[in-house]
Amino acid sequence: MNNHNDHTGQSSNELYDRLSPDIRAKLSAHEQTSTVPAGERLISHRECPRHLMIVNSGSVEISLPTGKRIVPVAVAAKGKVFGLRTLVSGSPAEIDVTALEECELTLLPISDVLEVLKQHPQMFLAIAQVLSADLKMVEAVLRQRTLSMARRSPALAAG
Amino acid sequence: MSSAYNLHIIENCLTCIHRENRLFCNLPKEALDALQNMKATSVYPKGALLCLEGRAPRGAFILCTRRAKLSTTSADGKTIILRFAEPGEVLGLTAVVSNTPYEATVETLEPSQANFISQQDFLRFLQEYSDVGMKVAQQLTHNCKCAYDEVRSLGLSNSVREKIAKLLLDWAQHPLELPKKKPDEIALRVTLTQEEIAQLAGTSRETVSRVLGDFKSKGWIRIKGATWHILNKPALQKLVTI
Repeated sequence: MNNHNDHTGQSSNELYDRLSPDIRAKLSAHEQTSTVPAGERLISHRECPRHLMIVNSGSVEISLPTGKRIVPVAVAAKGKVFGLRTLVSGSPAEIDVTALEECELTLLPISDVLEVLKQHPQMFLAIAQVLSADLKMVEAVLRQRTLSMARRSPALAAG
Repeated sequence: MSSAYNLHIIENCLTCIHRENRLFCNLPKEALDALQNMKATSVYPKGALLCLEGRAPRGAFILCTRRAKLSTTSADGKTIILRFAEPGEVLGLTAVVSNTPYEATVETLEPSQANFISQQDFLRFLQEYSDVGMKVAQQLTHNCKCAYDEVRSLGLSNSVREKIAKLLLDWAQHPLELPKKKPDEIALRVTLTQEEIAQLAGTSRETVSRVLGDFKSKGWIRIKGATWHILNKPALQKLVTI
């Protein structure tokens, strides 16, 4: 992962788009950019990311490891933000995020974001909106998989 | 103290004895004062629909007592239960926060108390009090974790027998305190119908009936009305992948 500081900020993403210009400016002062190659693991489940990660270009796969299997959840691209769950709860990631192609990322250290959040609690609405979108995404997968299981039910009845 | 449907109504959030153990309600005094002034307390009978999937959000409900089920219906009319909400949970949260239609239908499983807050009041509450913002964000991450756990569980279940065994073992984590015929017997209170268990397991009522009949005939469980007994936990555990 190649890192360098870049305070240009103000890129469009699902978090910044919901924040006021002054909060965006405060966050962008802590930004670093990084370019990662295809196949690089950006977030690993059971680990706490140390940065909020914003995808600026390229695409990433979100997947859920379940024992020996991996359930693909979604493919995300420019504008997707990862790491909010750890930011608000300190919990490790549930998912793996892997670059599908070369990606340019913006990284924001979680400790710096928490400082900005302390000064601007109105950020919580924007964070809640992004987390709501994440929840909808995983509930859609849950619906689809449960319904698919229900449709296959007679074949599974014998166990 | 008021009561309805044999429920003691908790009228004042500031003096609620359950507050400290609840996901959302453990807030500082000034936030609780604001909550107390904006909420409308109601008691609902079993089967009351608090939120309707696809409808525009009117507001959020804080579930004070008992449980509610969150379900969704597919385009071809199949209903599945997404999960059960516990006391202290805010219902209709994603819809209210993102101003999108309710994602699920929320139905009370038993007579329940819930506090209603209009969407406008809830959004103001969230922005004015950072503790409320943090609690909302934490509940959303908790709900996300539950949904991931469910997807993981579906991904691992190879059969309906395994899925139903897993449900029984999950319920066994909250056993009833009843006299036991054998020391390793686990008593459960199951208020779900077989149709609801089918909606939870992603199968048909007939299959649930057949699987439970099989478990009974093997002597793994005993069912008497809403009281179920797990008689052979290791046998159920053997069916479950994790």
